[in-house]
Amino acid sequence: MREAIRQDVFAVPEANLVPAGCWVLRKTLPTTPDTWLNTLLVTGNGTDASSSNAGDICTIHSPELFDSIEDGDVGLVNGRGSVRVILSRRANHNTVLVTERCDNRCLFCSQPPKDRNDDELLMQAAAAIISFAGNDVIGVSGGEPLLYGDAFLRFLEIVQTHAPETGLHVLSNGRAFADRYFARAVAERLESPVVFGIPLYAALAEVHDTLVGAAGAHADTVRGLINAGNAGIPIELRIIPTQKNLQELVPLLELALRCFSGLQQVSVMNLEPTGWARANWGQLYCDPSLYADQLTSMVRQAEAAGLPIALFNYPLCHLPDTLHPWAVQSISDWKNYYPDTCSGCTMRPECGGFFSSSQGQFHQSPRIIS
Amino acid sequence: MMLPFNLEPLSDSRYFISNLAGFHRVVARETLELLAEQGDGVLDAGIKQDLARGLFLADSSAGEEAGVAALASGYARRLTRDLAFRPTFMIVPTLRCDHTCRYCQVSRAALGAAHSDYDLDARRIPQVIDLIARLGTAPYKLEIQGGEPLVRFDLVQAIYDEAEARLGATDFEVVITTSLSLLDDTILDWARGRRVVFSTSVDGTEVVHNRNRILPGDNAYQRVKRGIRAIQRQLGPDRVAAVTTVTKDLLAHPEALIEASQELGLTELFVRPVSPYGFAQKSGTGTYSFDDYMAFYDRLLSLIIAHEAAGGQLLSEYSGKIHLQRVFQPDFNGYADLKSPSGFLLDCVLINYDGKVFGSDEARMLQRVNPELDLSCGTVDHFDPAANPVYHKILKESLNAVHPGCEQCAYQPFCGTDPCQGISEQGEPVGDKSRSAFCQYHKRMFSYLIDRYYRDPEARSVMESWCHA
Ligand code: SF4
Ligand code: SF4
Ligand code: SF4
Ligand code: SF4
Repeated sequence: MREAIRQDVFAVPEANLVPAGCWVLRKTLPTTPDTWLNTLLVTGNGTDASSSNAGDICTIHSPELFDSIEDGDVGLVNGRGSVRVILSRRANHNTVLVTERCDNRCLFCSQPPKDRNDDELLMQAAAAIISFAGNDVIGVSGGEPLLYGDAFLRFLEIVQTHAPETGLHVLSNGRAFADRYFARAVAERLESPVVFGIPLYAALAEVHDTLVGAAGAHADTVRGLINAGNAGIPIELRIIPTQKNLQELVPLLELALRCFSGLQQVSVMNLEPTGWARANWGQLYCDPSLYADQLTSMVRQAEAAGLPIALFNYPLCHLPDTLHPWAVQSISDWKNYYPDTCSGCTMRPECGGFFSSSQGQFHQSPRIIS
Repeated sequence: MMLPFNLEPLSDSRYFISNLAGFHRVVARETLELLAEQGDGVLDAGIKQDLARGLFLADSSAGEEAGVAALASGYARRLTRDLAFRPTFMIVPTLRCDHTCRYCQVSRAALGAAHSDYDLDARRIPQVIDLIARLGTAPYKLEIQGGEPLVRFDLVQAIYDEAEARLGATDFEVVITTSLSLLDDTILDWARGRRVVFSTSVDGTEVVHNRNRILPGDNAYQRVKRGIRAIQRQLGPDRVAAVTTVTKDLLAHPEALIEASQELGLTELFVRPVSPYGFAQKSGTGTYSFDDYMAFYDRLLSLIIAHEAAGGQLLSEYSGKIHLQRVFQPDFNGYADLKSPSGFLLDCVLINYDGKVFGSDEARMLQRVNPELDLSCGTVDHFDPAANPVYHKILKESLNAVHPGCEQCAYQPFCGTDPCQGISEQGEPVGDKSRSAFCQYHKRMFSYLIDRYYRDPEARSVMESWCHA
């Protein structure tokens, strides 16, 4: 992988002595221990280089990690010698993964589903969010978080009680909201700002169902979006243009504008070359110039209806100038990079650049703008 | 599987179909026949997909369930949106007027009539603004109507000052509806730094205008021309707009309107048929059929297209624009006549010169010609729509989805109701749509515009620029 702007995984050989799981990372020993996570004291240059492993508090020596974290960040130790900083005060966006299971099989899933039971991840995520106690929004992703059903309701209750300042952005395929009672139960539990990012890829059922690899998914997600919106759940509608749904983009936006309530934003996202999207790249990726007209029409429609719309993950030179105001610099800092050819570009401060996973056949070069 | 929809014929055996959520398509008659007789299985795949995207067809029982939910949700969204109470506050400082227009829409009083009979009592102005502050939310929209409001410019100023003090200096905007005959430098200077725009009437070129808009002892057209020019020059082109009442004299000469707009430097037209209110009908002038009106409109649109094609500036036409926006722009409900429930009371609170409050401009006109009825919703110091059973009845019956006729009309999601016009014509708010001027006018406008939009690419691009301007 190419070097991204912020690194998040650190090889710390002695970390294989530390039990796998979530740890709160400290640079100095706190006076009161964290009630939610065990403490991992990280030491850097000029401090004691000894590592220890004593019950609730472990110590590791890693100047590299020490220099990359803030006191109270949360790290995931894999038990095989590496620490991944999952909640970082320096990051522009933090996300926790609560399950790898999913009832969809999207052709471009960046986190391909696994069927094994991973229930422990949900409460681990809750503990991590609470211990981190940030006042920004934390992403909750999967897999499909709502497969937890009632356990997810408890997750919401616990996180909102103990980390009331933390907002959540839950990425869900929305199918679980086809159950109106579940949608209402979630809505009743929303206190701090919580937004659900729910993708819908087509107005036509067959196109959506093909893209998400599950028959009946479209009907569930459409009903889910309706129920969630009507229950008062704030929704970000996410659309990924591919070769298979170009005809759908404009009708899909019309469906959203006419039938869905509670929409806070429509996010159109350029395909990201990770996970299964890499395997299916050839049959999915579509050059934005081939659907610039559709994007223009969508932007126009959404603006006329007063619904915010944003274009994510688009290098500015891949969009016509007229769409630049809607493009946002969005790629999470741990997966974003600018190839050398960008160095002379005047738009770089506003440009989202490329995914660090895009290379070789996945890389679309920067374009000269005349 | 078919989901429910309505249909209306267009030209060339094509049909306009629409559903409750406000999706529409234009389809060939044979498609509908196939669908009705043999079901969707026999349709061309492309047509089938296109209809499914608009919730006209569903491909499975799960899809049908989701489609029905989406239609219901879309309908609920429209209802909720149109139900919102976001009134324009109209204030009538005086009914007196210097003009004696032949079709006078609002009914007027003579310039020399007693002030005490036809002017707002200045002492009431704080109450007027108080009512507005209580009922509205920023940004407040105020519209000063007449008679001719500039006959009492002192009251206009007092209303503005009071609004500035009570509503917040930048939280409101005032439209003054005026013939501009009395516009002078004092008024222009006053308006310069204020949030004021002027709305005036231009009924064609000098001959046509003056034949209907009569300013005794003077030339109404020259006055309005001078006024528009002065506002454009001194305050800016966006501070004045003009509406055109299409009289019988203009009907045969749509080119007169293009000419007048060129002469006056106006790029937005707003044409409407003579309204059935006030004294227009009684005086027997300007009666013509809606077919005549649509022939006029058709020629006007062609002239607009030709004007642009010849390198002229694009002229837009506001009536056409709002009909199109209702169809093409989800959530558009910016026009009080094209709403269901109607804009009565929800979009308008009119405070009359005598302190009475009405739910629409039409209601006060209706009141003038039917003095035996009470069409008010109280007075400025006692606003109480619930106390008048007429208000209850009008609001309850202003949903077109349950009006006989509208129920099965494909324009229903985009159309509206005008209960006062119903009362005026047929003695009750719903009425028989086959005899309703409202229905005849709007049905023709919708089908004309849509037909031309889908048939004539040049017209379509002009209409698109109207909507996106
Ligand atoms: S819904 Fe999300 S997690 Fe599930 S397969 Fe699709 S992209 Fe992956
Ligand atoms: S050249 Fe690089 S920085 Fe410039 S717009 Fe393209 S991707 Fe962005
Ligand atoms: S239409 Fe207006 S300007 Fe003409 S007489 Fe009536 S109130 Fe006066
Ligand atoms: S008023 Fe006429 S055009 Fe409008 S919805 Fe009713 S029947 Fe249709």
